[in-house]
Amino acid sequence: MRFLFRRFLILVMTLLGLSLLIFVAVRILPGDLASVMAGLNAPPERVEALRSQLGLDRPLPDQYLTWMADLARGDFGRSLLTGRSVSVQVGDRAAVTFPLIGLGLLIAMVIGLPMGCLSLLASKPWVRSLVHVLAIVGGSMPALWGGLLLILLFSRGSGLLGIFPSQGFAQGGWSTPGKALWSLVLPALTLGLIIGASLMRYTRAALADMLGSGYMDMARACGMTRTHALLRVGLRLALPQLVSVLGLTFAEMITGAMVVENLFALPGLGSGLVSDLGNRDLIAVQSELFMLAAFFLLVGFLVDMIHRLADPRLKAAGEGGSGTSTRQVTA
Amino acid sequence: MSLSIKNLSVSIGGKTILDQVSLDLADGQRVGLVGPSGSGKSMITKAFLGLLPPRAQASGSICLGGKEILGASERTLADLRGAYVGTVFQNPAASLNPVLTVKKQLTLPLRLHYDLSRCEREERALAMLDKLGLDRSVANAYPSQLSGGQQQRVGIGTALITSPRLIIADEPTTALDSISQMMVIELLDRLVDQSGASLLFVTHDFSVLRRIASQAYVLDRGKVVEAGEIQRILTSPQSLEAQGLVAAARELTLAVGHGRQPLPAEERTS
Amino acid sequence: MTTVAIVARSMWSRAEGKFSILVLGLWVLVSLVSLVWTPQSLWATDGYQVWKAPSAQHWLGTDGTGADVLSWLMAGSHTNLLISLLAVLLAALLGLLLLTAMLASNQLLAAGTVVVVDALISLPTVLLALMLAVPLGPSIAVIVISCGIGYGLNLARIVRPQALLAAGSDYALSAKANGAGGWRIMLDHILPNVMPTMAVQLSLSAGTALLAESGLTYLGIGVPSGVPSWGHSLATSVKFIDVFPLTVLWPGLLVTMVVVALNVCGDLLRQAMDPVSNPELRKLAA
Repeated sequence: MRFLFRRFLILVMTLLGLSLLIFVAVRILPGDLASVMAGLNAPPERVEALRSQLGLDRPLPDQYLTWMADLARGDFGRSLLTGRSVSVQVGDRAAVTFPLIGLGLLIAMVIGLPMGCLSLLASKPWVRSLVHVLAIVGGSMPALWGGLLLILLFSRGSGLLGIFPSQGFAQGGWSTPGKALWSLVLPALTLGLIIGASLMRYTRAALADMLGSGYMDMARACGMTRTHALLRVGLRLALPQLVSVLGLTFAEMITGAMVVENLFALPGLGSGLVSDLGNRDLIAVQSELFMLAAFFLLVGFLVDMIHRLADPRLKAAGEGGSGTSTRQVTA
Repeated sequence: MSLSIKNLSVSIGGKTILDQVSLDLADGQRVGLVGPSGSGKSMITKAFLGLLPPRAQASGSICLGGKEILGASERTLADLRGAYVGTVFQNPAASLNPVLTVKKQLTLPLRLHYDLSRCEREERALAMLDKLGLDRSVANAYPSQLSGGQQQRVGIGTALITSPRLIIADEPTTALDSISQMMVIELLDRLVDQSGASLLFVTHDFSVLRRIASQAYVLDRGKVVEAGEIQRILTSPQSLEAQGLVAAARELTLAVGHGRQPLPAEERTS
Repeated sequence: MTTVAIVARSMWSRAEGKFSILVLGLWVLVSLVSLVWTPQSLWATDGYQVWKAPSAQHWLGTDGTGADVLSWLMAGSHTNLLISLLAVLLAALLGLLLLTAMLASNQLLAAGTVVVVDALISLPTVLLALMLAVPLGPSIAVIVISCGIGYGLNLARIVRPQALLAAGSDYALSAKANGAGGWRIMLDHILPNVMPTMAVQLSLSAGTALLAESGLTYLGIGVPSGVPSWGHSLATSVKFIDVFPLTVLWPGLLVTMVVVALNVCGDLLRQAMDPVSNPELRKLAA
C-alpha cells in the first residue's frame, strides 16, 4: 500500500515535470508563437487577435497555470484549424488507434507466445532454428517496410491477392463495425507481426531461464512432463517479466502505430498529432502531447502494479523497481 | 520399491559426470549416497528421475521395481514421478512453486496422478500438515511467508503425500540451519518409517546420514569409491576420499558437540 | 592476445558472426566511400528519367525526381552511421551518469533517480521526439537526442542490478576499506563489471536507432528532406509501390539486414564476452 502511494506520487510529479517541458517546448519556438500559428502571410490584426484569444500576451507563469487549471477541469482547448474541442478530436482519433493497437497486441500475443515456446520446445533442431531466425528478422524490420510488404501481398489494388483494403478507415466509422474492423486488418497485422516477433524472443529467453530452475524440477518431480511443466509453471513464473515486457512493448507500439496509421491513411492519434504539428496547430499539439504522456505514464504505473500482484514474493516486499526492462522501438 | 543401477555413465558436452556407477537399493531399504560437492551424486538422482538436461548423454541401466527406465519416454517417467517416486529437494526456497499456496503445493502430485474430489484432496493436505507438525493455518500461506525449516517440511509433505514406494532426498538439510536440520531428519525418519518406503538419501555429511541410513555408497569424481555399512565405513574407511569425509564429519560433531559422544560411539537402529 | 581480439575471433568462428561482421564492415566501408564517390551525383536529376526501372545506368532505378536510387542509398549509409553512433554515444553517457547517481552514497539522490527512471521508462521514444520536434523541426538532432535519452534510461535500468552487485562485492568493499574514493571504485570495480552488458545493449540500441530513424523520417520529424538517409529512401519508396513494386524491396531490405546484423552482433557479444562460456577469455583472466 505504501509502495502504491509512493509510486503514484512519483507518477504525478513526473507528469507535472513533463507538462512543464511540453509547455516550454512549444514556447521556445524560433519566433513568436501567435505569428507562427497564424501562418506566414497573416495580417498583423489576425496575429494580434490570436494572441489575445489564446492568452499569449500574458506572462508565461500565468499562461502555464491557466493551462494546468484548464486541464484539471477537463478543458483541453480548441483546435485552431477545425474549431473542434481537442478532447472530442482526440476521442475520435483514439477510437481508431486503440482498436488498432489492441488488435495488434492480440495478434502479437497469439503469434509470440506459442512460437516462443515452440522455438524452445520443438524436438527438431531445424524447427527451433527456423523459428528463431524468423523472430530476429521479423523484429528487425522497419514497420513501414513490413506494412509495404503486406500491401504488396494482400491489398486490393496493388496487392497480389487483393483481399484487404489498404487505404483509409471505413466511411461510417464504428457505426459499420464489420467494415471498420476489415479496414484495420492489414495495419494491425503489420503491428502484430513485428511486435509478435520481439515478444517471441522475450518469451523464449524468459522460458529458457526457467528451464534449468528448481521450480521446474519440482513440478516435474511431482509428475508433470517437461512440456507440461514449462507451460504451466514456467510460463506462469515468467508472467510478471512478460507483463513488464508487454507494457513497454505497448508504449513502443505507438511509434509503429503512428507509422502504420500514416501508411494506411487511418485518422488515428499518431497521424493526427503529426498532421497537427505540420499544420502548426500548436495549442492542440500541446494538449495532445500531455494526454499521451499521461496515458503512457499511467500504463507504466499499472504494469508495475500487475507485476507485483502476479508475484506473491513481491507483494510482501516493499522495494520499488520491477525486474526487467526492454525497450524495442518499432518504427 | 527396489532400485538397481548398473554401469551408469553420464556425460554433458563431452565431460564425464558419472563413470560406470552401480548401486542397489532393496525394497524398504535405506541407502545413503555420500560425496563431496561436484562428485556427481545429484546427477544420479536426476538421471533416474529423467531430469537430466537435454544435452546430457546417459548409458548403462536403471531398473526401478524390475523395469528398465533409462531412455523411457518422458510420459512414462512423469507417470512414475510423484506417484511411485517422491523427491525432496535441496533448497525449498528455490523449488517450491512461489505462486502456489502450501495446500496447492501439497496436493499437486494428487491432482496429477489421482482422480480425487477437491474435498478429499483438501482433507489429505490437512492430514499431511498434522503429520508434518505444521499448523493447519499455513495451508493458505505462500512459501515465501514460511521459514526455511517450515518450507522444507512442506517439501517433504509434497514428496510423501501420494505414499510413494521410493523416496529420494537430495541434500534436504544442506540449506538449513542446524536446528531445522535435526527436525527435518527426524521428520523424514518417522514418515519414511510409517510408510515403509525405500529411501535414497544424498548428502555430503556423514554425521547427518548416520542418523537415517545404515548403508552408504561413497562417490568421488563420478565414481563409486566405497560401499557398505555406514558403521564399517565410519570405523575403518578404506578409500582416501571416504577417510576425508569421515574426518570432516567427526571434527564437526566434536566441535558442535550436541552433548553426544564423538563418532562412532552411537548406533542407529533403522 | 587482447580481450577485443579474443571476442572478435570467437564471433568470427560462427556463421552468423561472419554475416554480422561482414555486413557491419561493409556498412562502414560504403559510408566512407560515399563521402567521396557515388555512382551518380545525388543532385543529377532528370525530368525525363523519373520512376525508371533498374537499368545499366541506374542499378536500382530512379525516384520521382529522376535521381539515382542506389547513389542515395549509398550516401544514406553515412547519415545513418552518424545517427546510430551519436545516439549510442549519448545513451552510454546518460546511462553512466544515471548509474553513478543511482549508486551515490546520498540515499535521497540514489532512490530518487531510481523511481524517476522507473516512471520515465514508460514514455515512448516517439513522444520525446515529438516534444523535441516542436521547437527544433525535423532534424537529425531530434532522432539522436530522443533515442539517446530513451536508450540511456533503459541502459541504466538494465545495468543497475549488476552494478549494485559489483559495488557490494568483496573487492569493492576492501578497496573502500583501503581508502579508495567513490570515483576510484566506480572506475576500477563497477565499470569493468558492467562493460559487457553495456556493449551488448548498445549494439542492440544501434539497431533500434536505425528503425527509429526510418520511422521518424517517414513521419516528417526525423532527417529533413534533401538529406540522404535510408529512412528517406524508404519513405520515397512508398510512392514507388504502384509503379515498380519490386523496387520497394531494396531500402527496407537494407535496413532490415543491418538491424539483423546488429542484433546478431549483440547476441554473439553476450556469448563471446561471457567468461563462463568462452574458455579463452578465462585463460586471459587467469
